[in-house]
Amino acid sequence: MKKKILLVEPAYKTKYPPLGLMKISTYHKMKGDDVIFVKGRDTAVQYQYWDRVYIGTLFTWTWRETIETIKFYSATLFNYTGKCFIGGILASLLPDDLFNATGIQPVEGLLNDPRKIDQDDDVIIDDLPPDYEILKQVENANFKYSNTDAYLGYTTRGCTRRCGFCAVHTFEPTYIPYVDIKKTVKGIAANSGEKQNLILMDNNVLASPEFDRIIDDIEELGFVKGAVFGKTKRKRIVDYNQGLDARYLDEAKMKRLAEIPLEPMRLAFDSIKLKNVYLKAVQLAHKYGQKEMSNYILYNYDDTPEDFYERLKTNIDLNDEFKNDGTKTSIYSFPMRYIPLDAKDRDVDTGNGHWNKKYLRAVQVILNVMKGPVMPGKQFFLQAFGRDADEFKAIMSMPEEFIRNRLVANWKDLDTVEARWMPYVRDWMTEFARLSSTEKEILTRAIASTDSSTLKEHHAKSTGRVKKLLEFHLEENNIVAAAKKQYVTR
Amino acid sequence: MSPRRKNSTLQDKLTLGKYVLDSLSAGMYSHPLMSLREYIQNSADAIDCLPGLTDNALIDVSVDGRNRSLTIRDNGVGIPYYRAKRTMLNVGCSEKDPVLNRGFRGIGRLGGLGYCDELRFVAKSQGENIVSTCIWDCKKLRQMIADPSRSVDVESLIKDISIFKQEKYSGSREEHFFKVEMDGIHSGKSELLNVPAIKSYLSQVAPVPFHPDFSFGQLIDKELSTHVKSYRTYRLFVNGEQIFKPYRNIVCLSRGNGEAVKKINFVELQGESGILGFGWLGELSLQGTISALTDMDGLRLRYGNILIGNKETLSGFFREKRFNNYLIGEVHVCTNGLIPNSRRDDFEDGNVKDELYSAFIREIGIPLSRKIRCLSSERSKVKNSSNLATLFENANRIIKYGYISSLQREHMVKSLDAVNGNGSPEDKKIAAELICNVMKSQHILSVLDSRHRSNDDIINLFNKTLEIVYAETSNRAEAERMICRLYKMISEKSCGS
Repeated sequence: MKKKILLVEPAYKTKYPPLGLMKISTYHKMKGDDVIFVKGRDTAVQYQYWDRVYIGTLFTWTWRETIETIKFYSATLFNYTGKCFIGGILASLLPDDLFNATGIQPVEGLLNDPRKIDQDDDVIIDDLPPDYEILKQVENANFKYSNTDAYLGYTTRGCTRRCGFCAVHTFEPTYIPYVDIKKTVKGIAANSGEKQNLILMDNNVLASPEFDRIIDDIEELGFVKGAVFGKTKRKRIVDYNQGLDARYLDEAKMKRLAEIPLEPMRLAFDSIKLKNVYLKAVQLAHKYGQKEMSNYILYNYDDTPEDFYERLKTNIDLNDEFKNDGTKTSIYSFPMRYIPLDAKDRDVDTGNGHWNKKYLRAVQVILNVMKGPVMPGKQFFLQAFGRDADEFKAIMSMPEEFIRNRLVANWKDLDTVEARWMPYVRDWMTEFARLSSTEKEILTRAIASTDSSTLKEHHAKSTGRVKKLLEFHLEENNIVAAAKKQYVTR
Repeated sequence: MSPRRKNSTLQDKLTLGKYVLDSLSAGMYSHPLMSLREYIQNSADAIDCLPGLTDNALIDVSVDGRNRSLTIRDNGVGIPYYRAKRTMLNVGCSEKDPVLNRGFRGIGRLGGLGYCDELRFVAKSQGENIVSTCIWDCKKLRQMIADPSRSVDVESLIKDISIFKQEKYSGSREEHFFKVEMDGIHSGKSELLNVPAIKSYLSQVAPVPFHPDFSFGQLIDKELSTHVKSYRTYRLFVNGEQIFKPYRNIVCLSRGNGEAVKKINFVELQGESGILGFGWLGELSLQGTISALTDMDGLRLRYGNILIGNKETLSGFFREKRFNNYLIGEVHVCTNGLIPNSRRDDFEDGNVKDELYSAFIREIGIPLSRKIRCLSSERSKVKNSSNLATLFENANRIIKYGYISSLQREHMVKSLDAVNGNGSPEDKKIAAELICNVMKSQHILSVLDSRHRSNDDIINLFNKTLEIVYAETSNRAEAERMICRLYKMISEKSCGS
């Protein structure tokens, strides 16, 4: 009997297409079933009959929306929970919590075993090509998935490392050193047409002893430097978008990577302890002519704000070094805030004593100006993050409104950093520089929680320079508004 | 635990205590009439066992209010004398086949224990001249169960409270019957003496025929006989009146008039393991819920033509439970793969049960929920548009005759503005124009051009106004308060001028 299958992605913000659901779609369409894909809680589908509902999950901090979505569809199925299948990252990381909250035992890890979803055949769903067609069912004027012009796939699965900040080893515990990407690409091309780009979501491709064979595969598929696509001859790119492990990069591998249009190349710079390894890897990439790099900078894990600054600055210095030679390697830094693997919302204290809510918020405000990555320009960087780690900390300690409105309107006409600052920023910086280390500690404690009543309490019992700086915090909106007004009338 | 201790435990005799009997009788059902269902089910099984034609077979319920007693008598096969004792006294070991018979657990017979003082079973089999009687002293049973100092096992308890006897039958050898007699029915449980309640209950629960007045009865009977192997109906009488299913040609809705059933639609419920159920639905316009007083509301689930659960049993498989009350019809189970649970309010869990309900959701629950919801939203659209027509009419009245108070004008503008928020393009256009004109409209008195009236005219008008306010306001106290305020306002104004 032809079955009615419903695929659901909870209504959190996403960019990447839901690969797992797309593969499940391929599987059911192969069996002749009807497949419908919806995003979020759709009351219209409650008035249709479903033989099975599959719900994909993503980050653990989407917990609340995910659970509400599961409950909604459980009710849609008249609580026949045996017809509801939940998989994906959240489901694999918090299976027991999810079971207790919904009464549904989720499918953990990959769909690499037919028993996981009671299949009546032995098809390995994880090996199937994803079905791109279903994406159109949820895309509209306000919402589009990105990267739908790319083959999405893997050349390896899992990771050889067991880093504490990463969940991969939990839901993909076995490292599979070779996956035939040719098969995936051909499958996608056959079902959904040819794609311009190749996005590979490997967690650690450089660890693979089959690396050469993988690059051969990619080249065989036509992804070689200079390759173009379609009548308009658009440039084809390959992106290992989960990043490459600098510790495994050697000259031979870099030489091979240079054969494919890797744009950008993404290295991970997760810890200052890896600085030498990282520098060596970037130099290698540069040597082999890699132009664009976008490197992941993990923070709020076991690092300090100082070493976070140093890692960003390292990239700025490298950019400076590469600026004037022929290759023009440019490195974007992509700061990634660590969120604990079981966090049910984004607003969590990680217990890392070096960072606090205020600092994390401040980094976010600084990054918002740049919409994510830190660009290669040195002057801009020094202005945004400070000229050294101390100034970085002084900026992070500022009231949020100060950070957001640090510069005068005509800053581009002015030469020095100080001259570009709004007067209140200058005042803040001067006072902050005068603080003793004990006073700095007191100030940090007062602002760390970003909670206004804590701030007021500290303000009441503090004295001298700390009190003055806390006053800036209490009055930030008035100070900024008054200064802006003055600036305009002048 | 030492091995020795373990051994001694194994040697201990297990005891089934007195509460077992309590649990299987009074504790079993949530409603005393359910015990009637158990007896009628046994009667139907006994009639099924009759050889040859069964046209004369019947089940007769007689309720005697004066003597607080109730008897259920059937002329089914009865019980042969040699099997009577164990059949009437054993608990939970019926010799019936769960596939062929409706009852098979051997506990239904105990249903009456909790509701009367004495329960008697009397049986006779054809061709014998012995009648077997078993008497249960329910009063004593309750005393023994309630007495915490008496700890007895079921077996000795039953021996203590029951008497079994066999006597020579004075009537014809050819007679065959089974009788349940309940004496001393408690006043607190008078449902067992409430004849209309019994009739209503049995008409909905028992395997009785459709009423001759229901013109679709024959058609449904024909279809059910074809599709449901076990489908049968039985002649059942309560105090001499034959009981029929409640279905009639006209269905009374909760709000409004009756509606005629247009035709009957039949539905097959198919699962992986074949056809699991077969149902009929009376076609209605789905305008609203059916009055519960008709006993017809809701699709009912039946097994062996006896109701499973109640009229709500299938309601949970609609998008909203109340949707089931828009429908009339029955779903008969036609698979041997389902066994009703001992309370008969659902089936024992299993794949076939899930398949049956999934098929119900697919074929009936979801499609009809969708239909009912669509019709209801169409109706509310119509209602909205008629509301809108009234609103526009009132706005035009203000424009033509003037507004009564500036507050009224303000409210009107607000209501028209709301149309602008979520009306159709045409309605929005009309509303926008009306807002413009309402804003420009004048007070009702300026429209009538009262400025040219004399003072006397105005006093006259004021007097008339007060009279109207007093006469037309339904709340007198409120009217007086309003008049005082108006008077105060006018007099203060004249003082000021």
